[in-house]
Amino acid sequence: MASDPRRHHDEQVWAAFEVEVLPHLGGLFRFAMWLEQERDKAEDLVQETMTAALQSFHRFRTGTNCRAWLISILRHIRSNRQRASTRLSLVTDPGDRIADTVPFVPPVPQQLTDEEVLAALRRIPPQYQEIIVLCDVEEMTYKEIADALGVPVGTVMSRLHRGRALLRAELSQPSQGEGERWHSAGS
Amino acid sequence: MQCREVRDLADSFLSEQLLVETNHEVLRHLEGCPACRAEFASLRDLRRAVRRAFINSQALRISDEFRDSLAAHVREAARHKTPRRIVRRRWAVGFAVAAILIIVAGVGQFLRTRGIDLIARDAVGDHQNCAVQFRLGEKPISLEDAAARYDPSFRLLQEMPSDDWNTPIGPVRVVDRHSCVFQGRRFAHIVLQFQGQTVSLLVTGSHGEANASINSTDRVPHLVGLASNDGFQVVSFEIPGHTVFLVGSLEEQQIRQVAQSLSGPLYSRFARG
Repeated sequence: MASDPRRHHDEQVWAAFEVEVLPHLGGLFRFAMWLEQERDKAEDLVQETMTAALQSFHRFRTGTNCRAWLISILRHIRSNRQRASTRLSLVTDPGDRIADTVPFVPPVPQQLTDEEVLAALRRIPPQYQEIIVLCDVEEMTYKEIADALGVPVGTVMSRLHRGRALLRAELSQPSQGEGERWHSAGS
Repeated sequence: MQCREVRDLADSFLSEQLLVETNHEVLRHLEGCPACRAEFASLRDLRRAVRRAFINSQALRISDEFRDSLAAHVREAARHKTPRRIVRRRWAVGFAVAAILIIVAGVGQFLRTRGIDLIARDAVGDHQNCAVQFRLGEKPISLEDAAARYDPSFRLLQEMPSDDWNTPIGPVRVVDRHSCVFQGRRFAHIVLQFQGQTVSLLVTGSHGEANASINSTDRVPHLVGLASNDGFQVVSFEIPGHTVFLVGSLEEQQIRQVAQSLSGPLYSRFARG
């Protein structure tokens, strides 16, 4: 019996998608969860990302950077959602001004709980949070991060440097309150 | 290497992003410098602490239930629905657009706009792959080179629009000018920054039909908003011999404001030649 060519093609697409994309699901969700801070929203975002990735999978070239590709889709979907839900204007890289005024980088205390580290990370501007997460947690290369965020490699390096300095500054001083100082609204 | 130079390289060293030679230089310095060793150790500890906090966090972990249901959902879409649904949707959009255009402007206008729509897809692809992702297959060249080799009009875009100008809803800044190719179509590509977002101004040669009606030097072009592809908004207008696209992730009205501020001056300049 002759097989249905369309079905055969669909199976091939799924097999390739399963190999290339699904291994990144855990990291993608972790990143989404960090950005959204609510499980329902993170799950919606990841599901929409995966659906969009499947729909444009024919444009993905095997062997290129799948993780960066997925994160760029996720960020794009998220920024579209934010534009749809708010009319707030973006502040132009406020952390640049703050980072420029950091006088020195204090040492990191030896005894830190996971909660203290995550809370300190939440208190720095979001553009530095995401670079630190992608570099230190997801262990992406500078080039991968640059591809994912659509910024030059030099920007990745400078943001990482400033972000780590800000994070160390946050960790070396007592918490400034319960609420986070920066929301992950800008991207 | 001095301490300051070495510390500037600390992030790249710990991320294993340095060239082998530079890496060796850093290691040599660290062997003889306890202060830098302590600094590097502190940074390394910080990285480990961040990673450990994330990996340990149950709140940030994907649930097995969601993983399974998502995999099933995507598999179902891949096997049965998505390819056919996408095709149907594209046809549906095509028919809807065609119907509206036939009613509003007749068959001639429809054919003209459909041609622009096809070029618009290339414009969106160029914006996405050149301005956003930097992954074009062919390296961009200067506008001057492109003017000498492909389209003399591109020379006009070396200084126009100016590096900074204002629209009613905010300033626009030019961050790059070059010429690039996407899917075989050559564009003059001016990368703009507007309201914190990257917007592409793409100019490409248009077919004769699209410009047949243009013969005045003071005409203000009609702006056409096109269906967004992959979440991008596109606004297009015609100038003598060329079609202009503005592509970005802003809302259509915002892109339209930028286009509005450019259309008249660009038209006049290209009409003068």
